[in-house]
Amino acid sequence: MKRRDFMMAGTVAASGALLLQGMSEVAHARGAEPRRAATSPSAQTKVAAPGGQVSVTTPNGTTLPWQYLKGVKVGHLIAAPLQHEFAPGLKGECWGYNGRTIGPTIEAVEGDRVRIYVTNHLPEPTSLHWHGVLLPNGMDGVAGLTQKAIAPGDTFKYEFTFTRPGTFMYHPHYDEMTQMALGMVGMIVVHPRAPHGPHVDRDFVLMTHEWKIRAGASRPDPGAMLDFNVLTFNSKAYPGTEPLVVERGERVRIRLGNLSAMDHHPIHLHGYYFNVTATDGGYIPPAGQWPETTVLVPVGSTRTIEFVADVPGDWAMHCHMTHHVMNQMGHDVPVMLGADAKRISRRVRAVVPAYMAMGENGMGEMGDMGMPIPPNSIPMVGGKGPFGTIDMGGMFTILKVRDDARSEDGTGWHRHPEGSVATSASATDLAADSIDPSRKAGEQG
Amino acid sequence: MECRWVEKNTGRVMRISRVVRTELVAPLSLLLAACVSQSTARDYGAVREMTAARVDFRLPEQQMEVGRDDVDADVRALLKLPLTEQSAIRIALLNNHDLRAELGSLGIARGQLVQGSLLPNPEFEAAVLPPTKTGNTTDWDLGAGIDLTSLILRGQRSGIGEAEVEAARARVAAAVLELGFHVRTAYYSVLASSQRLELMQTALAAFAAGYETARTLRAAGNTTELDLATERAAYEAARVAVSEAEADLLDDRERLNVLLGVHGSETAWTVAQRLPEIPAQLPDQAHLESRAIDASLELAETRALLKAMSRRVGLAENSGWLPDLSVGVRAQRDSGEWNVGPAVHGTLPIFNRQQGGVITNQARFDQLRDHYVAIAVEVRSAVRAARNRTASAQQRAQHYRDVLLPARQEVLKQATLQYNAMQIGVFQLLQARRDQLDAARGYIETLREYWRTRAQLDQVLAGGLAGSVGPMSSEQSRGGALSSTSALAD
Repeated sequence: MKRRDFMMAGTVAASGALLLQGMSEVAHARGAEPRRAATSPSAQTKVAAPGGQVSVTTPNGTTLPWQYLKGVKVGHLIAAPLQHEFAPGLKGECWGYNGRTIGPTIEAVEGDRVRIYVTNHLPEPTSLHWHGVLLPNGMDGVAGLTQKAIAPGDTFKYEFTFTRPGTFMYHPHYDEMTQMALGMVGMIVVHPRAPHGPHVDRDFVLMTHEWKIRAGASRPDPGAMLDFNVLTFNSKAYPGTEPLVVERGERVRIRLGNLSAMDHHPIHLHGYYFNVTATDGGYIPPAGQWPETTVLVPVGSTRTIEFVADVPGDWAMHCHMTHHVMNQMGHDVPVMLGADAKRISRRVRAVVPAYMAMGENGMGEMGDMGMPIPPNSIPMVGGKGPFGTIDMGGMFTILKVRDDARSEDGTGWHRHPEGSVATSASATDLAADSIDPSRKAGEQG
Repeated sequence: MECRWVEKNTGRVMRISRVVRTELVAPLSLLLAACVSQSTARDYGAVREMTAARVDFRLPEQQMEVGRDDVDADVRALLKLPLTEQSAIRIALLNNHDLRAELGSLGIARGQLVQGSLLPNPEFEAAVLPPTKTGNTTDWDLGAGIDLTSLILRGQRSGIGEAEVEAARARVAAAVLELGFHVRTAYYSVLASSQRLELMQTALAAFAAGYETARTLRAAGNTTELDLATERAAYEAARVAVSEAEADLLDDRERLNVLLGVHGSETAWTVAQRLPEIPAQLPDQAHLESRAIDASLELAETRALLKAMSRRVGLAENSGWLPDLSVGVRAQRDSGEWNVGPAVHGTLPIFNRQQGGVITNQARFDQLRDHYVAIAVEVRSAVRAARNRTASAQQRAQHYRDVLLPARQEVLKQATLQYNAMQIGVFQLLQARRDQLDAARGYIETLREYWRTRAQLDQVLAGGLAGSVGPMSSEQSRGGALSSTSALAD
């Protein structure tokens, strides 16, 4: 039944031009019944596979639309240069698929026959590798090894069947260093024919990635090996990342992928523990799953986690490498911490009047200083939060758990119950608990 | 009035009769001295006019007295104000003793002219023969006469003297121009060295800021002894460089002190200006060579010397052919009776007809004529060289001003933005500032070169001497007009 509905939607979306303009929403709107409409926060929660499996949401991204032709799902990926906004204030000259990075998420069901055309509008050859997908060797997309490279202007046809469910990725296998550094990555979600485990209400994909863009420049540096300074979920750096909005009590699945050049990412979720339920190798049987609050996502791997979002709030989710939650941090500057800034300023301002000492007390307030910086750069920029500046950037996003998710458009903040927010201690509190703030550190033993 | 008449009147007979008469007047020598003094004043006036027609400064109306030691009140007043290019030149014209000495050569030439124009002194002889035992009267033999040849050649000798006075005027005018030129270049050098020192002091402050930052960071435990030592070494090197720049400025001030003729407390002058920006246009480029040739005072001097030499040849020829004749009267009283009659005395130009003198002077003339051509070649080259260097310095200065300085400014601006973005540290920011100061220093050096070469070009076009081709050291261009001639030939 479902399958036929999809095919009907497919005929509506037959136009190739429309295909590239995010027809998936149209297809879903027409072809899928909204599930639990009363509590669903948006129209994006739709059934994508048998057993009521919901379609995946790609924050800041889209899903590749299909044409349904004689039992084959037909898609088209166009590799081309594009301009991408990493966060407000930082645009980059990138490469990607169908006008975006990350490329549209390829969503299919176990057993689907797919035919994907790949057109190369890049200035150099490319190829497409279906990372983790089991398929005929000639479809594996390794230029030179299993196929010819796709020359600029040429279009290749890949056709295979998704024989195993899981979370996979796609990327070029020609000049990967350049093409992936510039943004040519995407996620693949293959739903099982029959769902595994408990019913999942929200299914997100987050691709981690890392870039080097010098402050004021706009071209990611493909030669970077160590000093990456823009870290992203789905090619967005906080505050450019869309929050994950869920309703209290929903079971949430997050599929994490990593196509960074050089770094594994320990992704930490606040407020919950979760189970790692799958890797790109497949589903982990319940007996093999283990609880975590941080999951390490190695380069070239996917990890799927699930949890029940039963505590409302604005919960941070981020890579726990501190340099991965900064935007365009410079790494080759003298340490100013603890230095007598007045002594320095007096001398330096005598010759450079615009000079302002920075960092002598730490760097937490850098984003609020408002000093002129190079255009198209977001060094130290954070986001605005309900209690002030959120001085984080990069691979950082927020899980927003709401009692009524429909009331949340993504910009709101959690309403804390009275007395449940940490505040400056009152004198009464201090006295009652015999806390003496004037006591020097170290005296307590 | 008498003197003017003597100057103007060239009628030989008239002059002789007149002077014969005046010789009888008692205060002859006083009058002669007054005549010479007035003639020298006229020579000075001529030099003043020659220079005024060529440059935009004037000699003082009255010639400074040679040998005066006290500094004129004008000079003192000018020294109290910050010096400008024009006031420096004025002071030098009033107070430079080399120039006064050079002006003295007008008197030397004038004196030689006067000496050559003097009448020969009358000759006389007398013999008295007392009576003898056989004779009964005292016999007298009296004679008076004058050197006729000397009288005849007196006009030619005056002609030589006049040409040499003309040469002296041109030479002295060249010396005036040269002094102005040296004051200009020395003044620009003082400005340039002073601005250079300022820039280097600012650079030193930038090094000091780096050193202070390193010390502060070291105190906070943030950096290494190596970084601190490196910053300190750079700072100490900058101090040495500033000290050198101070010495350079003092040297430049001394060069100007010498030209201004000042000493002691008078050397505490200050300067009013900064090096002017380069004008958009070079001076008129048309007919540079012919204008320089027309204006050249060295060529004018040499022309006058050629005239004098040709007259020397003529004098030698004439004096060779003329017998040495004296004419006069002779009176004899013999046996109580006076007998008066004309007398003539002389030699015959048979063997010595001044042949050697003619050859020598002819050779000197030829030598001078070749020298003239050589000078003309050098003047043409000098004006081309000055034009080339001026144009080159102008282009470089414009490039500095319009391209390099804004580029360095942009580097500093961008470095500040990158610093604000915490992409670079304070040391790199200071380096960008120092690079900008280095470029500014390069600009000042180029401006200095422009104004020096521009002064050379103006100088050659005004008819003066401007040192040798190529970068000119101030030592090289010092000295009088004639020694500079040889510098030009080097």
